[in-house]
Amino acid sequence: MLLISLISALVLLESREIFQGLLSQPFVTALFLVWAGYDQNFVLAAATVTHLIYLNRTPSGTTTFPEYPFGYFVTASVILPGEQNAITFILSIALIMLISEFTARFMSFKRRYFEKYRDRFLFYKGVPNLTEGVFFTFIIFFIYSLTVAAVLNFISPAIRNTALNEIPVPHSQPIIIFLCIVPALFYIYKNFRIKK
Amino acid sequence: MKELRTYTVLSLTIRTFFIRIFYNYLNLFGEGLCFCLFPALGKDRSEFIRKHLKFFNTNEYLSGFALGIILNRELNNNDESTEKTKEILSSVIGSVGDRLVYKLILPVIILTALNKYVISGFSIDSCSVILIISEILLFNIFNFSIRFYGIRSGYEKGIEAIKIFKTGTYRRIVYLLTLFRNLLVLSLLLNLFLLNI
Repeated sequence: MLLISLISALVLLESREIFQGLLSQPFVTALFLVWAGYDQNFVLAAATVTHLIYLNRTPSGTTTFPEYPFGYFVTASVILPGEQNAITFILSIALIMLISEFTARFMSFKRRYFEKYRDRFLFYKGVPNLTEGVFFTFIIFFIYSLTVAAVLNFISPAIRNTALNEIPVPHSQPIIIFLCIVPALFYIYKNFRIKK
Repeated sequence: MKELRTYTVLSLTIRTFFIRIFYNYLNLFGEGLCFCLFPALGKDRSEFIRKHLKFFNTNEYLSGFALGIILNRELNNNDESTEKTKEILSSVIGSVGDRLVYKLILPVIILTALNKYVISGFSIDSCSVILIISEILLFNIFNFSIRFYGIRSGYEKGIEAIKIFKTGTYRRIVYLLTLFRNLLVLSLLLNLFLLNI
């Protein structure tokens, strides 16, 4: 769990605060999860659904933006190992969305806290310390990731070790594909409509 | 006009990768802008901080243009128009960057990868790995180059540098990216239906 929290904190740091070179996007982190031994079918399908849900969102201005790279990585790495079916897959997607939205609120809190730097700039007239800024951000993210991973770890037996996971779900594959088609159609509706 | 050394441009470029660390709701990128410009300012920073620690918005990928143009104003003592320039940059670079990167480039990259995943039936093969590594490499070359070019061009040309986003070539690139993105999302839908059959 410590390793998952550490990587999740790095994912959040890369996706939102520094570099932003796509390394933390679900379609990339899904590869690492597959190499780590997770079921590639569910991991890649979850990455596809997550991307399609948030493809039309833009992190702009002061609006809260769902941190889906973090939500995806932490949820997939805690919930998705082992046997899955369509029900647990749908629950995982719901959890990814919930954690992404909650993390957006957390980021908003963190940014308000960083307003204190303004006073430092103005009154101490020193060079802002990047190492301190990055380290501070990373520590906050790590504590947050650890908390989220612990909560997910606590609720994951309720998903994995109960009858939910053993119910034979007919048409599992079409259900997963349907989950991909709906946000893709919504994306087309948003981007293809003629603006008057 | 003072010459901006390649080392300074490189140092500024690397700093733009950290511009969001200081992002806050009081002045958005105001603090990040001050942090990024320090290597080019020399020792007289307090006056600069007092003047620039105000509201400033940009897109992180195109922040190089903002940095270069503001440096052009600052180092060449063109004080009276700096505030007006910052206002223009806040609106233009923010909206152009968001549209170019978040509405076109990122969807094209993501949809290409997703198409590959769907075509291969949600499984990984060597082709998927090569495709994703190439996408990351290409995107990061763009990510670095646009910041570096933005600083250099902004410093040399001033506010004229952002006219690049009004040229015919830029419009053609945007048109092609839009077309490509739309084709990719349609092909993704088609692949999903085919996978289901």
